[in-house]
Parts: sequence; C-alpha cells; structure tokens
Amino acid sequence: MGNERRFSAINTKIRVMRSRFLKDDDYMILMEKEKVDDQIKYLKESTVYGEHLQDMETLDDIQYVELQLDRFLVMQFKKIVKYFSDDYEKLFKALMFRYETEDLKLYLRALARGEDLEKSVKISVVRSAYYSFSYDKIKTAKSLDDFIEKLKGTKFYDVLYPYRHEAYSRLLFYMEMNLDRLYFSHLSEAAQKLSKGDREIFNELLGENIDLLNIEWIYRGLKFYSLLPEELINYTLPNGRYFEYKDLKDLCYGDIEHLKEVVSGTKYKELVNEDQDIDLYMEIRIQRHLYDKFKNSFTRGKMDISISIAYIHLLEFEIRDIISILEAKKYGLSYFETKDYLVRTIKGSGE
Amino acid sequence: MSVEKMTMMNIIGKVDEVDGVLKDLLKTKKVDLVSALKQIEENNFLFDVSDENVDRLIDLNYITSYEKDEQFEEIVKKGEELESILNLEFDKAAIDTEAPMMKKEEIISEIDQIYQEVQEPKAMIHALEKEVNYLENFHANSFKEVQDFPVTIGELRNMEYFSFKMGILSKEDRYKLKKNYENILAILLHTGTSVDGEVYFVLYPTKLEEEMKRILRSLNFREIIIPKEFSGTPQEIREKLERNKERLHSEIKGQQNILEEIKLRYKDRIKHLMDQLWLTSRLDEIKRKVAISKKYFYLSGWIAESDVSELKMVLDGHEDMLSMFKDDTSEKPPTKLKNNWFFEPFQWLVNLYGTPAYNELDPTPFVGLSYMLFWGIMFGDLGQGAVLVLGGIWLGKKMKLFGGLLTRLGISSMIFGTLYGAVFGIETLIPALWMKPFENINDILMVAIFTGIGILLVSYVYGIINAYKRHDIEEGLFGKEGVAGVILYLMLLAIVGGSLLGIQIIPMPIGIAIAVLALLGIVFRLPLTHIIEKKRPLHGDDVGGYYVESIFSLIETFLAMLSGTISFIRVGAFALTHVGLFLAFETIGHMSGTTMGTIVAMVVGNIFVLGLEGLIVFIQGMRLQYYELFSRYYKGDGQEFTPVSLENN
Repeated sequence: MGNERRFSAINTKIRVMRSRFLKDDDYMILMEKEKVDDQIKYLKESTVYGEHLQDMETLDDIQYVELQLDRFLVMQFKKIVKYFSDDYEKLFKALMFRYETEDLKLYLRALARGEDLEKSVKISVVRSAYYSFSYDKIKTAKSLDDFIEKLKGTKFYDVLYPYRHEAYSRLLFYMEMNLDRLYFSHLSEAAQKLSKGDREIFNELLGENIDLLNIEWIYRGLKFYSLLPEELINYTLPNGRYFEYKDLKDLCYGDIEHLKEVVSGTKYKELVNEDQDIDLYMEIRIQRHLYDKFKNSFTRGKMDISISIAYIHLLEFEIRDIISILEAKKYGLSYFETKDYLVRTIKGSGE
Repeated sequence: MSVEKMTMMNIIGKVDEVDGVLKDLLKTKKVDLVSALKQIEENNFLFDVSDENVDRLIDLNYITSYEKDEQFEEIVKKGEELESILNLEFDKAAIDTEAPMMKKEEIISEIDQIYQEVQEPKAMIHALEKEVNYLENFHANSFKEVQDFPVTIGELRNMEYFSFKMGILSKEDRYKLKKNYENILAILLHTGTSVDGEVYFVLYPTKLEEEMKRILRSLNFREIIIPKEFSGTPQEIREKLERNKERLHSEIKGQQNILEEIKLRYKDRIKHLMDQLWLTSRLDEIKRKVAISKKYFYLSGWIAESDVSELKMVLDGHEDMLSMFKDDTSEKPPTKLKNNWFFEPFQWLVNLYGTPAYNELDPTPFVGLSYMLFWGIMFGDLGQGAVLVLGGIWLGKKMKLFGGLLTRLGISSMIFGTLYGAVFGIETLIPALWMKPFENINDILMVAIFTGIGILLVSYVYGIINAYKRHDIEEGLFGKEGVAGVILYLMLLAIVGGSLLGIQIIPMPIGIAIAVLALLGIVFRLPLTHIIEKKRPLHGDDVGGYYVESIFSLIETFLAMLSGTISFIRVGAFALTHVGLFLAFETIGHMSGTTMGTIVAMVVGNIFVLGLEGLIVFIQGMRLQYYELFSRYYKGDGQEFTPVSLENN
C-alpha cells in the first residue's frame, strides 16, 4: 500500500486530535492557579481531559488525574491502531505493549509488598481484557514463583524466569530492567517489517531514544549503583543510533568524567551540561531532546509514520507536564521553578 | 400427498415405568412430545373419571417436572474420561437401545469402580512421563553435542579453586558476551544448541563466584542444574541418561499393560455402561417435558392418527398404562407432511418459506409440478438437463432433498430440451418436437403467459379451499383471492384477453356486469360476511375507514392481477435468454475461426450457462412461487412435526 493511501486519513485525524492539546496559555493559567484543587478544576472544566475527570469528587488526587490521563492516552492509541493493518498495526501494538509492561511492573511491585493484586488492577492503565497474559490467572498468585509460572506461554515468562528465586529487594530492579529490554526488542523487531522509508524514520527515532536511555543508565550505574562494568554493559539496550556496543563498552569501563567528555562531543551534549545539576535534570533533558524531535516531525508534516508516532509521544509529554505542574504546586514550587521541570518551553521562561 | 391428521396422546403410567415407556415411544420416532405440565395447566389433559383411574387423577394435583440431575452429568464426564484413558472409542450410532435400563445408582457405582481402578496406573504413567520428559530435556540441553570432554563432572565438582556452571543464553545475550570476552574471568565452552538457545559451560575461579553470578544473571543465563547422581564424563552421563530413559520407558510400558488388561477385561462392560449413560442422559433430557407426581408420570405428545394403533400396541406392552387419544384440543397441532417420493424434495422448497398450518392444504405437489414446468420452459436443454440429473444424483448422497430436487429439474430440462430440440446449446443436432423458442419469440411468450394464467387459476382454487378449511367466509367468498376475486379475474381475462385476441369470449355487457358484481362483493365483504354469519353490527367501529381502505385495496387488486399475470412473461423471456446466451458463445467461437475455438467457446458457454443462468432461473422460479403464487393461497404459519428420537437433539 502506498503511503498516501495509508496515512492520508490518519494524519488528518491526528491533526484534529492534536489541536485539542493544551495551548501555552493553558499551561500558564494552570501554573498561575493558587491551589492544586483549582488546577484540577481548570483541567476538568476547560480542557479536553475534563471528560475523563468527571468522576472526581475531591479535587486533590493527583495520582488519580495521572491515571485517568494515562488511560486517555491508551484510548488514543486504540483509536490510532484502528487505522492501520498488518505490520503497521503490529508496530502500534508493540508500542502499546509498553503500557502492558508498566501494568505488569505494577503487579510485581504489589506482589513484593504483599498486597492484593485486586487493588492494583484498579490503577492499571490498560484494561485487563487487552493483556497478552491472563489477569485472572496471575491475580491468584501467592508467590513470585507462582506468579511467573502463571505467565507461562507469554513473552514475559522467559525474561522473568531466571529471577524467580531472587530476593524481592534486588529482584524488582532486575525484572524491570528486563521488561524494558523486552519492550525495546519487541519494538525493534516490529519496526523491521515496515516499508523502507518508514523503517528508517522509526529506527532513527527509536535509535536516539535508546542512545539516551543507555547514556542515562550508564551514568547512573557509574554514579549510584555498585554494578560491575560487565553487568552495566549487559543491561544496555541494543540498536542504538550513534552509540554502538563498543562505544557503550568504552563508557562502562571508564568513569563519570570520561562519560561526560565523550557525550559532550555528540548531539546529546545537553545531557551533561553543567549549567544545571546533571543528576536532577538528566531525565527531563532526555525528554526535551525527544520532544523537539517529535515536534519537528509535525512541522515537517510528511505523509509517513512520523506523525502518528510523534502524536503519541507528544501526548505523553503533555501528560507528563500537566502532572509535573500539579506536583510542583503541591510541593509549593514557584512559577519559574515549575517551568524548569517541564519538557516544553513556555514563552517567557528565558530559555 | 397431504397434511396428516394429528391426534393428541395423553398417558398416565406408574412412575417407575417412565424410562421403559419413554424408550419404547422414542424408538417409534412417531411422537412429538409437548410439555405435559403445560397441558395439565391448560386443562387439556383430560380423562374420564372412573373408579380405576380416580387415584391417578387426584395425584394430578401434586405434579412437578423432572429436574436436571447434575450429579449424573458429572458421571457422564467421568465416563468420557474413562473412555479416553483407555483409548476406547465407541460409535454413538451403534448404541444398544434394546438392553433393559439400569438404575442410575448402579451405573454410577460401576463406573466409579472402574474409574478408581485406572487411577493408579494413570497417575504412575503421568509421573513417569514427566520424568522422561525431564531427562530428555536435560539431555537435549546439556551434553547432547559434547564430544571431547574427558573430565568427569565429579572431578569438576571436587575442584578447590574453581567452580563451574552450565546454562542457556539467548542469541542477543551471547552476542554481548562474545564482544566482552576479554573482560570476563572465565572459560566459556559452547556445548550445544537446544530449543531454548545456546548451551554454555562456564568455568571460573571460585573466588569470583559472586561477580560471575551477577554477570551471568545480567545475561539472562538460564542455569541447568546437573543432578547429583551424574558425576561421570559427559559421555558417561549420556549413557546413564539413556539407560535411565530405557528403564522409565519399560516401566511406562508395564503400566500401560496394566491399563490394557483393564481395558480388555472391562471393554464390553464399559461399552454397555456408556450406552446406558448416554441413553439415561438422553432420556433425562426428554423427561423435562414429562410431569410426575409421587406415584405416576404424565406424558403428552402429538402423533399422527394413522399411528394410533401402533402406539397403542407399544403402550399395551407396559402394565397399568392409561392412555387417551384426542383429536380436538384448543391447541394447534404440528404439521406432518406426507408426500410420495416424487414430490418429497419439493417439501424442502415449501418448508424454506414456511411449514403449512395444520388445517392448510399441503401445496407441495402443486409447487412441484408448477416449478418443474417453469424450470423446463426456461431451461430446456437435453444435454444440460442430463448434467443436472447426474449432478443431482451425486449431490443426493450428501444432501438428499436438494439432490432430489436437482434431479427432477434436470428431467424437466431434458423433456423440454427434446421439445425445443436443444442439446448443450446446439440447436442443429436434433429436430424440435414442438418449436424452437428463438424462432418463435411471440409464441413462447404467449405460452408463458397462458401457462401463468393456468397456474394462477389453480392457486386461486387452493386459496379458496384453504379459506374453506379455516371457515373463513370473508376471505373465501368475498376476498380478492376468494371466489369474488376469481370471478373478477376471469371476467377481466375474458374482456381484455378477448379484445386482444379479437374473439368474443363473453358478451361485453354481461362480462362487465359480472365483474362489477364481483367488485361490489369485494368492497362490501365485511358487511356481507356478517349478514351470512348473522353477526351485528355490520361493520367495525370505523365505518368510513373501512370503505376508504376497501376501495384502495381494489386498486391493489387490479394491479396485482395485472402484474401477476404479466410476471409470467419472464418464463418465456428466460427461455429466450437461454438460447441467446448460447448464440453469443457460438459467435465468439466462430470468430476464432477454428474448430478448437468453437469447442472451447461452447464448453465455457455451457459451464457459464449451467452455473450462472441456472442459478438465476432457480431463483426466478422460486420468486414466482413465493411472490406470485404463495401470496394468493398460502400462509405457511404451521409448526413442523418433529418426533423425538434417541438420536437427535
């Protein structure tokens, strides 16, 4: 199928969907509100998200807002998936797989805390009917071993199986690392089936994303975790764009200073910019880098896969920013301090 | 060739006889059971009160229906499981219905007993198979491909400064490991490939145990634990594994022999029990329509009147049975059609539209004859008819009715093919006994119309008889499909047709006078009916509305008569199409200029005509039946007579 035919409907649809995003004015109004309650009230009454917040009785539950917005995101996903077929549909499903993975992490954490999984399903993002594993099966799991056994036959089983006898304290770390790895390998695999042009676009986006995550991982590993370099390199994600295995290995076996030096010589130099605290801002800088990239896709507006991929991520960043604004208000941050924690740049922030 | 006369059979018998009686009734396949409870509630379950049956009738006040026996369903499942464990497969069609029925408790306890007996060997086999599986898996995953490895595992285990592990790595992780060999303080040995990935043997200084563990874990290393009992070289271990496997296999064989023995010992018994199980559960299902009290059971069902004596005989075989056969109940009986072999396939066409009501004429013979006639006129071809006959015979093996239908249509095609002188679309092979449609276009169209008129008139007769059977004076005498309608139609034919053909069939003034009388009859049908039936008032509530509707329906009547008659022109038109299509293919063939080309064109043409035109003609014929004819005489709101039997559900 030609790209004109494949994307003309969905790209138009997405433009309409995107026009409902919050505007800079909305962000400013939100930040200027006195209390969290007022902010949520504004979201509820004056934005596209209001519809999904109607059930809220008290207006102070940030966690609930986040959950509803995430569910909204998954809903948008499902809408978009309907426009595709075959390998494109598979790619979007692979992207959605991430939310399933997130839910699975949620259950693992609940299990580690000895909580009832019934409680977690209430705050799960994806509806349990859409899981590739059976929620009804795992909810009765009594132990981790049992839990993993009940995932048998799913993609998750193999990656979690080696850790079934691990102590909970370390286990979550390993499992989460492996689930993320699974998601990315799943995604790379799905991307290979796209048409040539789209594959290149997607690989570029995915590759840079992987680079950024690897850099962050190695940086933190060197700085905070007492991991062996061998472990460090083994947990990196493959298929990066500019950082190949040997480059990553070089970082793993070096020290922090070496890493900063290497990274400042690349297009990711903003990550190790010493103007602001690196540790604190690394994550937000990663997101800003991706945000700019996705925004660019929209501006270019080509008839290819970039628009739909960008839409999903921009929506994700929007949700992240909204939640950041609410959290910032909760902890009493000022207008300007809040702006520093946003992915987007709002007019007049001086950046 | 008619709708069979039905009668309602009510039976009261002793409650412990119920299974036997039901079984015997089912075997006859002549009873359509209805809910006895409903019959009793609606006071249709009537008996004369006499000394001998007063007891039974009093019990009528304490009736209930049979409950589903869930415990029994479980035992059915158990029985099926038993069948599969012992690898028995019984043919459901070969169920022995003659054997006397066992009590449920007996079946349950016997099945349970055999079931218990197979449990031990079954569990053993399961456990042994699991072990074999484990061994095979271990074998495949560990030393399967190791060749030069002279060291024993025991020696490796005893090393003081070195430890070892064995396990599986995925492709991606192996790649990572390979690229980082220089930093890993261990010896890695690839020992084989398994379904799960590549198998590696890792030897490292014991001092580095912790680091090694962490590194391997970060690679998703799936460790294979070598059981303690294995301590030789891989070669020895492999041999030992083989020996163990053999031993396990022979143990499995032993257990299987035990099962085989049980199977041999109980095979016939199990077959008998399964038959009993199946019969009992089928009877249970049917029994939901039977009512019971403490001492008696009550059963109601429709039967054909011609079967009464046979069923009486069946019932006489049981003690203390009280039965009643009753023709006139308030309920509408189901319809059992009875047609000879020739018309039977057309029953399928009729039932597709609707089963005739009990008091309606069975239209099957009429449908059969008229449908064959239409088909023949439209699709007259000796060769293609023969193909249809053969196809029908072949199809008849799988779909009896449809195959039969096709055969009869084929015969009709052949007859008309002979009359038209057409074989596989070739018009020059045999002479026409009657005429060539394409050379006598007007004649064939006229034939079609006259045939249609004839058939329409017959359908009016059917309609009038049906109305008479329903005691429906309004429709029968004054309806537009009743006597008045027929008179009007005949007069119109005489006047219009006469003037078209230029002959006087009936003097114009008389014809018009009769037609007007018939029209008046139709307009005033309700008051006229009420006068005959001596009912008052003459009209319903809305007198004005009635006449408006009545007069408008006159227009509809005229239109229906006109369009209905002209509709039959299609029969002639399709006869022409049939020839015309062949002409087209023949022309294509001639254009190719070769004999081969002509043959190919004719073969393709025949396939095309037989498939596509055949389908169209089939549908057009059905359309004529359903819309032009059935609408005039047939309601088809009856319920089919479906006798219960042991086999069907």
